[in-house]
Amino acid sequence: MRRWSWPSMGSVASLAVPSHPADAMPEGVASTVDGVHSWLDEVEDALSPFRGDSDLCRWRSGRQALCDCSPLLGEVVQAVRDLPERTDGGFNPYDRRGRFDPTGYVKGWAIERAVGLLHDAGIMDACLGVGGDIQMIGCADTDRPWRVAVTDPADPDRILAVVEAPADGSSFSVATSGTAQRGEHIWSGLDLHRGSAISRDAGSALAAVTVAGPNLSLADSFATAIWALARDHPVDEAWQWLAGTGYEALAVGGEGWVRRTPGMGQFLVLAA
Amino acid sequence: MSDLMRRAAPGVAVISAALATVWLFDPALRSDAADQAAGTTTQQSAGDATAGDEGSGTDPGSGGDATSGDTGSDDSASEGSAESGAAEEGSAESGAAPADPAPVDPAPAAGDCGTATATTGDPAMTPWGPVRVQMELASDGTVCSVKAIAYPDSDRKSSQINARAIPILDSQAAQQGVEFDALSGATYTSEAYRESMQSILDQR
Repeated sequence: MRRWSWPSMGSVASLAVPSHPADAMPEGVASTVDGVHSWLDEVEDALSPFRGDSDLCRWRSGRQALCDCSPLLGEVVQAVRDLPERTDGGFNPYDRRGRFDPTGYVKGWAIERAVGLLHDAGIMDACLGVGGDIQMIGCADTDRPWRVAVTDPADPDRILAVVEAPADGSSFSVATSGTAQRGEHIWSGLDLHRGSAISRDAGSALAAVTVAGPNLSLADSFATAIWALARDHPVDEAWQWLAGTGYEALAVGGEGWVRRTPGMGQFLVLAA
Repeated sequence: MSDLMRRAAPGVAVISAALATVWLFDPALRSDAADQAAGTTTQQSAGDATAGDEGSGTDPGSGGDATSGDTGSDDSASEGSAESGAAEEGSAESGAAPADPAPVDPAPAAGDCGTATATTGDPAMTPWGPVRVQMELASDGTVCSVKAIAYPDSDRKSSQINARAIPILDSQAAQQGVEFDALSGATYTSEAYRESMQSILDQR
């Protein structure tokens, strides 16, 4: 296994690419990995809510027209448009001041797109994670799909489950949202109505929720949405809008219970 | 930390800490990260995980500065102590022989833990300070032991959390019978622990 790691998005990016005896790895893999670095930098330049000169900040403060900004911003604006509706209001692309802030979507999307760059360069097996949000394509080995261990937030005594990608090597991702997780904005619409900043763990019945499915942009967004909704609704209600999307979830309650969608079992090789 | 976070009222400092770790775009951190990416991005063409590549030392250059920006904490005092904690534990142990007895028994699977090699992970930041783990790996990649050599204890709450979590995580990591490639989870301490552990896996 070839592995690379570097600091990215306030966390650590980890890239794994299997090596085989008759390796079909294309030449120039180093430049492809450099391309992933550059891509993540480009995303940061365009979409950082923390940097005043980012396209996102200039647009939302009225200093620059959307059509004059990086096309990445337009792409993200378009992509998150229907997410609140798709998630029953759980995903909310605004920060606590009501400003547009798609960060909860952008991280998973950026990682997913980075893996797309690898794929386009002929790297058909890869696993890229940043801060515990992971996008995979292909397989880890000749006879083994990629596997991701999910830790149990309510009981650190154990790994809660090990999730396995489809054996056919199709695109697969795992994202976890929780009480103290990096890389997410978790504000429900209700918070905005109340006009107050509520910490993400205030009142939620969940300790963590993990979503698995083909694309990390959606897995990450759905995990964020389920977590936010669980503050006011039984988690099973989220299973309804999740059904048929191709994404499955595993939720851990504050009291330690575990609930999972009916289809989650297909991904589990080890479950508590 | 960003101006947004600096301006946050003390009362929401904890909230800020949580939110600030949201995908940090802090320019200072970013330049650190860029330096690191340029200088210390690790790549090891390690053959197969089971083909006998020994865990190698972590990069000593990847110490506290990149992760310290991750604290998202407005509490400079606790940040300061976190930094010093990182400094104390800062030296990477490259290929050192196993020193102390492992806190947990070797994994039941194969692998000669008698000749295991100790490797120290990068420090991973939590709002309360760094977490850093040391793993002992047999030549075939079997994890023989994992222990936390640094974890936050600068305040009471953090100590309470970690007194319970860290030793348990230590044994958990060594008892995994199922091979996996990455980790996903949700708590600060275990996430930092996982991050530090992942940095070791990434060296293999």
